[in-house]
Amino acid sequence: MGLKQYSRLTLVLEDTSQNYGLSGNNPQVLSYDILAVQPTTEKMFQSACSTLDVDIISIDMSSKIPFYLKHTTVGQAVERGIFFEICYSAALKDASARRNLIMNAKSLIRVTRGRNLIITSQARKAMELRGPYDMVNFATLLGIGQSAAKDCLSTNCRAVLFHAETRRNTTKAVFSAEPSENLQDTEQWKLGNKRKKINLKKARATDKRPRVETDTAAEAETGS
Amino acid sequence: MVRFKNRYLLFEIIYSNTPLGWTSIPAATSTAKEVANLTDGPDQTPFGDTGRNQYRLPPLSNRDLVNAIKDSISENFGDYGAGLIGKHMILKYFSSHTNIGIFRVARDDMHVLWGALTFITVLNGNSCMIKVLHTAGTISHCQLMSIQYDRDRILFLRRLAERQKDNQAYHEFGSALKTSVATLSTMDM
Repeated sequence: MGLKQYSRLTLVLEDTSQNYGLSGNNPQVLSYDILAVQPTTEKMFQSACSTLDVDIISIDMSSKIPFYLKHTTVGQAVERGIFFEICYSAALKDASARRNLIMNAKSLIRVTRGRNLIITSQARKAMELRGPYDMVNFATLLGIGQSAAKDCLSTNCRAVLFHAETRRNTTKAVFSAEPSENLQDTEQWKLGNKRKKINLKKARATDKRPRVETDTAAEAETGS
Repeated sequence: MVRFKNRYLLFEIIYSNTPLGWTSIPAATSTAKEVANLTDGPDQTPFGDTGRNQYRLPPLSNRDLVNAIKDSISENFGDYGAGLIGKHMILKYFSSHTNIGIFRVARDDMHVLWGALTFITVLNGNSCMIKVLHTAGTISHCQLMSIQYDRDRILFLRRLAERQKDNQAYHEFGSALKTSVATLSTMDM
């Protein structure tokens, strides 16, 4: 069936003076598929949005955010393709956590204008999960439009995975290549049928069907 | 035309001991038959006992369910929510064998009720989650979806009962099958 499970590392960032080693070469960081950070101070949030090489910025939603979310800072993160995470499982148990979630989520939505958001559960147990359409409805209640809410759970999550892959495998690149042996069984169709190379001149010479006289330049253009 | 618009929400309640494959195995497929070939005794996974070998789920009356939802609405949406939903919310159908139900609510307030359903964590002391399967403007669509779903679930349960050689449960589910289809088809449209 081909269900792929990804690994994710979430780092809690507290102190600006510590060097967290989040450069592209750290082997421990590279061993995880997705990298997320959880800043707890304004300075760390600023550096996460502007300089750090991460995929997801997660803010603790169950307590009041200690810093102010600015349009400019968040705009920098959105431009770099970083996503903000809204975690809902803490809100399922505790009433004050729920209030904080709604408060924080609304301010995050206002600042990001509903873009670059993902909704996750951060569940400790299976019973803390909720169905995807239920969460789409919840996001609609928070003020994101319905299609944007569905994106939060589908398109944006996929974008995070691609962002993670480009972060790990490429440096300032437009495309990357890998040998065809690395293709999974389910992706073998990408190689196409193995055809023999056709010598066009020879084929035309031996072709006995009546051919219409056309301009050779035009023929070359259309590639026929 | 000033017609009052409703929305019908088809939902399912999933308990912590609902068998893992419950929601997605139609009784007729081979997967169901495989799952039915189980040994007796608890079926352990990292999440605990899957409960596959106990097909009796906790009973829940209509009144309990409606009260739980009203509590959830007043807790999450306050007095405003309670007032919004209060008059037009009706539980049209609920089967405690298969934990499927249909709620009717005014079209404008559907999202509020749906949100309240999502936040329910405990019913009658059992931890659970509620999943909305389908929303429709008329009840007939919900009926069709639910009949199909219901029938698959009850047949699966019945087959499990047959395997465990529990005659009483077998006949119980047989009559449940008949009554569920009958109830659904006689509902107001």
